Amino acid sequence: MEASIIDGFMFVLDPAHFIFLFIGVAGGIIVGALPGLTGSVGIILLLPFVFYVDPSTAMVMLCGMFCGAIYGGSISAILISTPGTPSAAATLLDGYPMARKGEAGRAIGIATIASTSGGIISTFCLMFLAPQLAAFALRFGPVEYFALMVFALTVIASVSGNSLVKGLISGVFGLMIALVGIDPMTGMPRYSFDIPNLMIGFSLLPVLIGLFAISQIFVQLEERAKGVVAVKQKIGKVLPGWREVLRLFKVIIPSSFLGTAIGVIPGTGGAIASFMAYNETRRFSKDPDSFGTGNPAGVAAPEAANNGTTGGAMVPLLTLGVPGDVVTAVMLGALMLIGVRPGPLLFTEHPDMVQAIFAGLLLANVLILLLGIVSVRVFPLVLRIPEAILFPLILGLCFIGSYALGNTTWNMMIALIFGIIGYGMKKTGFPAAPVILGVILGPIAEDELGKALITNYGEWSTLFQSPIALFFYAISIASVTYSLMRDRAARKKAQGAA
Amino acid sequence: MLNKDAVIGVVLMSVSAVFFGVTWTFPIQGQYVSPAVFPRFVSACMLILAGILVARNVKVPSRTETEERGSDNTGVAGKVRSFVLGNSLFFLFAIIAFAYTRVIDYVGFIPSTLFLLAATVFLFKERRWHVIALVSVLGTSVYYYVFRIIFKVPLPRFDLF
Repeated sequence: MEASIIDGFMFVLDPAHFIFLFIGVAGGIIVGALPGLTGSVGIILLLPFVFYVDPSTAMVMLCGMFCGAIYGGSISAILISTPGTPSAAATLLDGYPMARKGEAGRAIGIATIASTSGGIISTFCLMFLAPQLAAFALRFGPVEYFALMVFALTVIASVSGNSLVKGLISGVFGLMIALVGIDPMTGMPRYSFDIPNLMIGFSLLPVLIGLFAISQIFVQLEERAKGVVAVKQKIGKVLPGWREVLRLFKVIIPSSFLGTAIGVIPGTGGAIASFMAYNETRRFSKDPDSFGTGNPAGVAAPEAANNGTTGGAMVPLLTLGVPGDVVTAVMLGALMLIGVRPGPLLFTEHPDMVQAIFAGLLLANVLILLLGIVSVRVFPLVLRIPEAILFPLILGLCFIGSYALGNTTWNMMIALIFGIIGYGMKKTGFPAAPVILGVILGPIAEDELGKALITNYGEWSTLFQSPIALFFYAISIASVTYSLMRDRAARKKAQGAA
Repeated sequence: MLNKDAVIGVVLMSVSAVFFGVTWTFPIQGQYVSPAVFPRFVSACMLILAGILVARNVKVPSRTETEERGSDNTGVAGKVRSFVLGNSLFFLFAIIAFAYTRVIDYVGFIPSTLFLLAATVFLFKERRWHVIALVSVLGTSVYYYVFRIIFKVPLPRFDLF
């Protein structure tokens, strides 16, 4: 049976099926915006519905949830400094400063356009390059993964702000946090001191919520006590102009391709892609010092990249039956439940479903654009709520979101502790973003190093024999050298001014 | 003389030394890479970076600074008292939030969240009691409806006796 993309569109645009796509996208945006709930939770919540619809409709709905959730994370990141999903942590770096300057609507508008573009570009890559991208993903073994993580860790330097040393300390602090718990290779508890809760380690989302959101509440409390008045939000001109959009496309397009490439590699995900895109955009920017203070490119790049991972993550799922990230892992489970087995035969046995998925992904991103444009005047109104009402409600949401992750008050405690640590870091000039990078990348790097050595019988030299790995080491060295030179120049300038 | 960053550096050096030292209690196991390798590498990195932070922030005080410090009669206890009083709002808020995370498992979600929201709104200088009550009740209700009813999250219940 043959099928074309036109058949896919005809299927999805049928009102009986389109309603499910809409539910998926809208539900995904809401789930993504709520801290503590991620796309994987949203997909699990939709699982009961998949039994009542045909498999193609079910897949379209799940894809809508996937795309919507990744976009939704940026809304809370921009408005209340709380990334709804880990992949929105990089968006916060410039999105929240824009909101503080009264440009929350503009930031959300830029995030909407960038997310849509990233999703559409990655879907086209999925449609036309799926076999080639799958072959690329297959070349990644533990050695290549470890080298990729080494490169990803150099991004720490880019999000270090004014002090490279303090940024590196934050990043290493993140690595230390990630060490607490069970060693992935041997199953031995580390730094748990026989405390059962510490054997589980620290979950990423409570750490994220604490470092960014709860710490900000401490800051707001301090500012309120000092009588600092909040900036009034601009609701009028909320969408960026055409010239700005065209200018931002110079950032959006490469970030989308970067996100797609990262998404194709199983086990990576939107968080890594968004930070890498932020790093590269800043590196090639004419005004790198403006990043972190409300630069629109600092919102566009990570959003294009994290939504770019959606199409990329579907490549290994559909072509190899291997999930690209946590959300697609849950989707794989959903597919198995409805009797569909992804893999090389999917394209030949169920071409109609494959085309429906392609059409569904494209239309999901169009829906994100439409819903985003309609609601971009509504979301910033949240920031017009008086601070004495808004921030307590955010605090409650942070605690309950943390609790919801594992149904344990331990996660609430973690969020609070890291909130205090994050507040201390803000007061002493240590950036928080590198901590998140360390927490995400550290376990993956250690795990892949262990696997690389086991599969190569303990030969450390094999880490340097893969061309792909050597490429990543080379750009890591270049990245670190560039950061050191930039830091040295900045310190000389500061000494000269003094 | 040590400034704030140097003190932080010294603390971090101590923490990383402890982290490093604890790795010697890890049993030697695992094929090719023991569980201690990565922690030792990370601890060593932190030790070096913290050392750089200290080195960049330790400076020889000038005669003027030494004279000014000599005239400052505040001891350590006085400085601690001043720090606590100066940050009393932070400490109060932290205590309330900590109490919430401990008490919620026994008192239940609804009463503890009502208290948390009311206390936080009060700390944010809202003094109108009807606003405090409205925010607490509405906020708690919305959270309960969204997380318990819609997302089926099993929120803590009263469990004192």
